[in-house]
Formats: sequence, structure tokens, C-alpha cells
Amino acid sequence: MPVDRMRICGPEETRHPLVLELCGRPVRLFQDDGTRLDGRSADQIRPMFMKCGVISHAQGSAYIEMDRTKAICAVYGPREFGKREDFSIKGRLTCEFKFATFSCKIRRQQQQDAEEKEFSQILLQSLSPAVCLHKFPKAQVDIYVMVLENDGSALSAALTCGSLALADAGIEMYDMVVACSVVSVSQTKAYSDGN
Amino acid sequence: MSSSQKRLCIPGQRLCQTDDDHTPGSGTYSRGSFIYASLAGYVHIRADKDRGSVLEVRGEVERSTVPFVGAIVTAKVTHVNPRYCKCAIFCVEDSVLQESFRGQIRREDVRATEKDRVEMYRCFRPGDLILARVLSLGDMHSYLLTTAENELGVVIAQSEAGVTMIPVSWTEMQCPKTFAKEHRKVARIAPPSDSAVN
Repeated sequence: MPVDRMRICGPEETRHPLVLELCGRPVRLFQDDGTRLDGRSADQIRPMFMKCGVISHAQGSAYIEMDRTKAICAVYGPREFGKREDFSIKGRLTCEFKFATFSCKIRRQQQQDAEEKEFSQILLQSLSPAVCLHKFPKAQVDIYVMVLENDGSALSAALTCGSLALADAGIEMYDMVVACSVVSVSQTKAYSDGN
Repeated sequence: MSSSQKRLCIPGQRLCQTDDDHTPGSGTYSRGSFIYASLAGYVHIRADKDRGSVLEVRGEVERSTVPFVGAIVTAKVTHVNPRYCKCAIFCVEDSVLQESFRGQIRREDVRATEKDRVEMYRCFRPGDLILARVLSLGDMHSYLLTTAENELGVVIAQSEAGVTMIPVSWTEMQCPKTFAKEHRKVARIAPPSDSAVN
């Protein structure tokens, strides 16, 4: 597991001031009338902005904003296989998910940590069935997603953004992939698109 | 058929029913009894006498393709070996690739006649631009190409003096500066049909 030895992270005894602020104080999630803090009802999603073709070098790209959550995705390919050992006559998809270091409340590592690796796997599992892999044999398509600001539902934003970028790249797909985060609080109530 | 009413579509959008009159073309696929789009772009309906109307989806910008079997590719020779030569594929038919793919031409696929008496170094040199046809997807390293046709082979080559050579016959090219002849497997490129006749 590669460890980042190049950067000076500060003395080991320090604690981030936010940690002192967050623990101990009870957090209010709902207003008095049952709506969420920003006035949304249980099934209301945040206003969205999406734009394709934002990265000039990439084959396809997309940018998504879900209120304050922002993600950008670049798609390269179909191009030659990177790792020769995983040769397959079908096409291949690789996904890389990354939080920008400034995106979350607590500063993120420069290298991918375990959560980002897990999200990359989830991205791969969600996008692979939608792509016509047999249309580009012996080639691979690389998807890179970076979350610029994380205000909740970053993975859903990344998934939708990835699917948009694939469509912008002209990669043949069976269907578009959309995602939304849902939290179920009881057997009858669920809240979508948390922030 | 006027295209003034262009229909926009996204992947997964249902276009029409699959029946005798409509067949899925490029950029579409059929599942169940319907034709769906697989690309984001405009829907074109092409009349085909064998298959009725063929539905195609084309994007605004031409997307690069992957080399497929039977395609004519433009490649640059990178390594020459007595058994094979390696090249980097830059174009597939008319579309230019953003990143090159690797191709390989075996000794027996260089020409159609006298396959066993081929000397690779007298057919290709590193740096030559060639036209070849994709034989098969090959192995994990490279596509398998062939130049065993009159119209395939070396198109542009530089002589040892660094000048672009002029083809003299199907086995030789001549440098216009030093007049030295060099051996290559030359492609017979026909001049464009609409060029001025003088």
C-alpha cells in the first residue's frame, strides 16, 4: 500500500479544529414541520446543472453540480490496453474515482484511499453493464472522475457524470446510468439525495 | 428524405419497432421487439433495398473507431525484424485515431506471391508510412496486418539522405536528390479520379 512520504503533514500530535466542533454537539437533521434543513421534502432532489464537453483533451467529458456537490469526469478511449496481462477479446472499462484534496470537510489524501478505491469499484460495476463492450474489442476505455466539492451524494453525482461523459465520448451504450442516494429511516419513509 | 426535422436521441431511447420495414444500423441495437439508440446524436433513416429502412444514429463529431477486421489502416513502421515488422496504427479508414494502436506484419503477409522468399529489410524500413489491411485482432500485443495486395504497402518513405522518395516500381523507390534506388514493397496508389487530365 503506497504511503505518501513526500508531503509534510504537520506534527502527529495535532487535531483538526473541526473534529472538536463536530463531536459532542447534537446535530439537527429536520425542521419542526418534518422537512429537511434546506426546505426539501423527503423525495425532492436538489437542483442540478450538467454540461458536456468541458475537457478539451479528453474524448468525452462532463461536469455536474447538484446544488453544492460538484464532480467532473473525463473519458479516454477506446485505446490500447494499459496492462497487457489482463488481455481479453472483449473491451474493458477502467474507472478511477478521486476526491479532490480540498473537496471534503477534512482534507483528503493525495493518493487514493480505501474509500475512493471502493467507490471506483462501485463505479465500474455500475457502468460496465451499460456499455457495449463488444464494440471495441481489445481496447479499453478509461473513466476518471474527480469530485471537486462534496456536499453529500458524491458517488451518485460521480455516477451520473460518468455516464454523461461516456455518452459525450461517443461510446456505444445500452442505456444511460443515473444514480441517487437514498436513506431509509423506517419501513415507510425514505429520504433521497442527502446533503 | 428531408432531414430538416432532425430527431435527437440519447443512448437507451426507444426509436421504433423492429419489423420487416425497419432494421437497426450503426449506433442502434435491437432488444425484444424494439430498436433502441446506443449513441447520443441525430437519427438518420437510410433506405436500403434489401433491409427496408435502416435506422442509424450519428453524433455531430466523428468519433474514432477501433481497428476492425478488413479495415484499411495507415501505419508507421517502428521496428523491422527478419520475421515480422512492428508498426503504430494512426488511422482506421478515414478516421484519425487519438492514440495509436500497435500492429504487426508477419513475413508471410507482406506480399501475395513468393511468400517464402521475402526479405523484410528490403520491404520496409523504420519510419515508412504504410497502408495495410487488418487480418485479425491478433494477440495481446498487436493487431495482425497484411500488405499482400497491390494497393497496400509503403506509401511514403524517406531515403537515407532524408528526402521523400518517389516510387519507381512495385519493389523500388528512388531518392530525387541522390538518385539512389532503395527496395520497398511499394503500394500502387491510383491517382484521384477527378484530377485534371493533361
